[in-house]
Amino acid sequence: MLKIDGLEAEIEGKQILKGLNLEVKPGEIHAVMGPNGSGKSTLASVLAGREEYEVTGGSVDFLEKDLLDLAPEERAGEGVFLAFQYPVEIPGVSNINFIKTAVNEVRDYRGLPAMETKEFMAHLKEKQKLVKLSGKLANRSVNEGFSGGEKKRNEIFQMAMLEPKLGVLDETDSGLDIDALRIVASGVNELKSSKNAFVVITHYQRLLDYIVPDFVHVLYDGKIVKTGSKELALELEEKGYDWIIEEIEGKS
Amino acid sequence: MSMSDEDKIIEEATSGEYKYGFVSNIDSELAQKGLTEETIRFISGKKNEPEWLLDWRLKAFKMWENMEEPEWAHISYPKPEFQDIIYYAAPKPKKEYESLDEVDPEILKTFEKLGVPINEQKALAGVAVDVVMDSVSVATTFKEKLSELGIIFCSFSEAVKNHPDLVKKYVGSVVPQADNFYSALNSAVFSDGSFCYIPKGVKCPMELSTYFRINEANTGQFERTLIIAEEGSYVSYLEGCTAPQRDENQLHAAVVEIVAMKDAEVKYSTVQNWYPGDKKGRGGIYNFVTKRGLCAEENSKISWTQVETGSAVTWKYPSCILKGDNSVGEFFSVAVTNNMQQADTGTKMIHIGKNTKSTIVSKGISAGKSQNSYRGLVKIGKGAVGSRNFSQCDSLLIGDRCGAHTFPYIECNNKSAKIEHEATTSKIGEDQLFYCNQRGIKTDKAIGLIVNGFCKNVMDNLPMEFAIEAKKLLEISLEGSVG
Amino acid sequence: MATITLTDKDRFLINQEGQDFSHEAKTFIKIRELALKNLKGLDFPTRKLEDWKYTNLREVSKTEFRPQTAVNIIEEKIKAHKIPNLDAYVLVFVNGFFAPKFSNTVEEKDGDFIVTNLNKAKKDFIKLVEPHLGFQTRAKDQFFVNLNSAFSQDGGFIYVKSKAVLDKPVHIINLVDGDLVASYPRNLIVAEKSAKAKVVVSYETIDSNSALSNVINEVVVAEGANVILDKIQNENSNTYHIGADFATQQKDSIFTINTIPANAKLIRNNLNIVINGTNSVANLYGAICLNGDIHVDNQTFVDHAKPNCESNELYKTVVNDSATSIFNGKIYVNQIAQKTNAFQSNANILLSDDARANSKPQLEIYADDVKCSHGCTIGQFDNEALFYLKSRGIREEVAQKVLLDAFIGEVLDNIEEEPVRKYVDQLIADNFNSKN
Repeated sequence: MLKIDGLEAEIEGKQILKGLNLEVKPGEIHAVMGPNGSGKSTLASVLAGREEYEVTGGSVDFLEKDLLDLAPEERAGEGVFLAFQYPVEIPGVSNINFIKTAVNEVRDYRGLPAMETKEFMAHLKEKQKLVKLSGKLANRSVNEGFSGGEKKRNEIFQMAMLEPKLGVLDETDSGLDIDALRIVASGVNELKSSKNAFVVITHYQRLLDYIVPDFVHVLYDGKIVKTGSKELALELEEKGYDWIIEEIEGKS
Repeated sequence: MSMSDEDKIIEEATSGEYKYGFVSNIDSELAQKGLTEETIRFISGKKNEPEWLLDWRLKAFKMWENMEEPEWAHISYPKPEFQDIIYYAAPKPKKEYESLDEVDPEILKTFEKLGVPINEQKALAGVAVDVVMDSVSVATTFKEKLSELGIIFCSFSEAVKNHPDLVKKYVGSVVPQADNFYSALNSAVFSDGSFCYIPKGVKCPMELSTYFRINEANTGQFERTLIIAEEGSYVSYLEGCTAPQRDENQLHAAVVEIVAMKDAEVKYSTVQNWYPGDKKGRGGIYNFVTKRGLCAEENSKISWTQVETGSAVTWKYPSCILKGDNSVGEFFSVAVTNNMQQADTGTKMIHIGKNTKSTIVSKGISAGKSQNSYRGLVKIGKGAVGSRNFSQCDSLLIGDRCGAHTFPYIECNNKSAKIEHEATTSKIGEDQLFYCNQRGIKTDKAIGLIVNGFCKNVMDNLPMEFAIEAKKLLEISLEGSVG
Repeated sequence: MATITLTDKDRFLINQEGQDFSHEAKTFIKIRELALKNLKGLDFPTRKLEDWKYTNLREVSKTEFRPQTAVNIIEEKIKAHKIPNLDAYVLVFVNGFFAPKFSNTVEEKDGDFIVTNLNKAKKDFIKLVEPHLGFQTRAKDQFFVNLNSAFSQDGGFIYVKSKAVLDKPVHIINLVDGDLVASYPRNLIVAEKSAKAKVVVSYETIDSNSALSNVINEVVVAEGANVILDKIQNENSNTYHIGADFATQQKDSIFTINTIPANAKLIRNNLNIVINGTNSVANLYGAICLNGDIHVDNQTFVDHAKPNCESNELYKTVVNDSATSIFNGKIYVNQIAQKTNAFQSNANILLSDDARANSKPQLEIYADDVKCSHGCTIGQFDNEALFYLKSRGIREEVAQKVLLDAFIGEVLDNIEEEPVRKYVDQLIADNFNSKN
């Protein structure tokens, strides 16, 4: 589904990704871990098409299309969803209006008719339950005045509404207490199917107790330097990253 | 995405051309070009006006002749050639209309194209429409129902005929003839307009509205509106307009006067979408309007809400004179400028009475190569003990070739007054745009969404159906393609 | 025969003539000639002009002010106008003329800096003066700027070499002595690349029944330089003070000006800052505590001409008795000045029934990627706070003083030199106590 090959990217002239390889198949959950500054959030931003990042090498294929060739909204239309580490506030735009616009834009891209209001509302209620998002938030401005946990749940809620093929979760666990973490994780688990896939970017292992990955990748200095099973995450939690860094630097 | 792509999107998103540009062919009776005493006598004669009104006009004309066009606003445009303007144009009065069926089908078709619902549906919606087309009212509905309540809602000319005492008492009482260059001009040559009188204790059960259009080439438009709300009454008045595409600049200099007595409340809402000129700035309406309300007695309230997207040049400051103790003035404004448009708009809140309160919320959006200025005055007089003002002026810039300016004047002569003014100017948020994009929303749509959010606390003050129209206008004004 | 009628301006200008500037180098005479030429087409500003809407100068135009030298100035009289405990190079000017007896100059040709009077510098350091003097004041349309340019007798000259630091602040004391005096002091401050300078300019009166101080400060802030200017206006209540300050900044520079208008009959300040280099910061602070019937009109103009710069403006005003305060600030952001951060704030407190405050904070913005804001408030001291203090047994006057200190202190905290701060605190305290 997703094939990243030798990806290089920089921001303001500083190279962050230095030849990253990753392949994700439908039905899989991949965890990408790594120390601060290793390029985790850059990976998420490049996949979503944030323009400050310039891709200087490599390729990203998504469902046989060149993802890097598409505008951010086209990527969303194709089924790429990024749960932001810092969800953006849009004053005056109600959450419900925002998500309705997004749903219908994505449907339009996929050649589907706009959703009837009744159908949309039913869909909305169902997905709100998934992440225990209060109905009151629907009429509030997008992310404005939301607590940290509400913002993150709102991201998962939007993901549920847009039904992406690939969900990229950028440090969704940061700033969440254990309750919110459980809600977010169970939301993701509910959405998981044999047709979609998730890339979970995280600094800590604790999210992976709830969203169990098929693969764990260690990102260091712009490259994936180690790949393993979920046990690797536990090992990282216990021993930190230094041993891997030593291993790599010892090799070179 | 590279910068040039972004430029392109902004270019597309900000290059929406006027959608309502068309001309209807209706016979018009025109005055001779130019402005002399004769012109004024002609207009007054055409309308069978009483002597006192002709004298009033002539007095205004004398004053106007000695006045100069104001230069202080942040706008620049070729000065209108006042002697090249035709000061009177009226659809030929074939006969008095009994019902809408008799109205020139061309006119009805035009309004249909504009989406002005002057038909049964509109009637069912509970809105009485006083249509002004090229200066003369051609149809009025719901008059009977209103007259049962003692409400007078008619064209200005009719009011002169049927309620001369009221007109004589109040015309020029809020905006004197010599108030400014354009009000003097209007006072001399005003063609027609609306008159509205709400008697003591009556709450007008429906929103009163007028749709103005400018339709005749070379025809300056000089409406005059007078609204009087007696003690304890309430009225909500809507004014909306779109104008057909024209190559040459057209001058519009209207005057609106509102008087609110004890405990009365007047809500005046405007959606303005006159032809702004093309992308290069050719054509478009010059909109030089004087709107002012007088809170004459205690506990009265006047509230102005405006959504301005049109006109090539706008010069407009709906104001409140808060004379009665505890009276309240409000001004809520959205002004959008795009392409080559220029707007210098805002308000004046003159606090005279004790414990008077005013609120100003202004949202300016500039795109293309336009210039958008807020200009406001808050004045607290010596006797305005315990008065309060809160002002908030926010500007949003879309693209790097436009300008957003804020010129507030704050004058305080009373120590017990409290004034707070804040203003911000910023770019449309790149992170907000990206967030929308990532959810699949295209950039031009995202701009519409974000701008409407930015304006929300003004839009919330519009009557429901007007708000929908206004929201659409904002999108049309800023988007290249509305899907 | 045609009759010639003289206007007030003509008569006023005739009174200023008779000074001999012929000893000056041609390049400086040219500045005067240009200014005289400009004055021909100008007149005293009237309230019809937007920027003079609130300030009336009719009295000035009708009074026979003349330049005049002071006689019999004694040490004692000068001493009273020094700032206690301030270790500084002091330059004293009386009625616009240099008083070398009371000044300490630094004029070493190879030194890090020069502190002297402008007339001397025009001769001895012509190469350093010529590129800067009059450069920022060429505007044709400012009557009083041209007036000073034409008739200025002398002023301070401060020059700091590249990478040098002025080891002590310079204190320029401008005094007025005598009746119907027209005084035109003009200072030029030049900080070369990465130089640093602190200057205090004060305006005070020895004795006068009526005076006009028409002053100019020109400041040149080169790349990476840092200049701090404290301006203290404390003339007697018979004095009209009309001043203009000009600063141009190159990249990576910082310029800070603290304006403290305390006493006079009328004060008008025009502050013009051009931020002409990237990554620069301009700070404009004003602490205005007024009593009596003084009329103070502060106009500021910040021109953001280059990207990535910041300006911070904070003017705080307390108006008592029948005094009037006017604030008119404009931030102008050029089309190329992207990433500008500009903040402007004006807070006013009115203490008496006849006190007046007018404020016009303006933004004129032609670049889109900016963060600009302004705020303005007019009101009284917070009644809750006042009550709280009183409930703790503090007398009303004392409580007001506490709140005043807190309110105005936010601005005064930007004055770095402790003795200057103390001096200003005392001025404000005197103003506040005199009639309360």
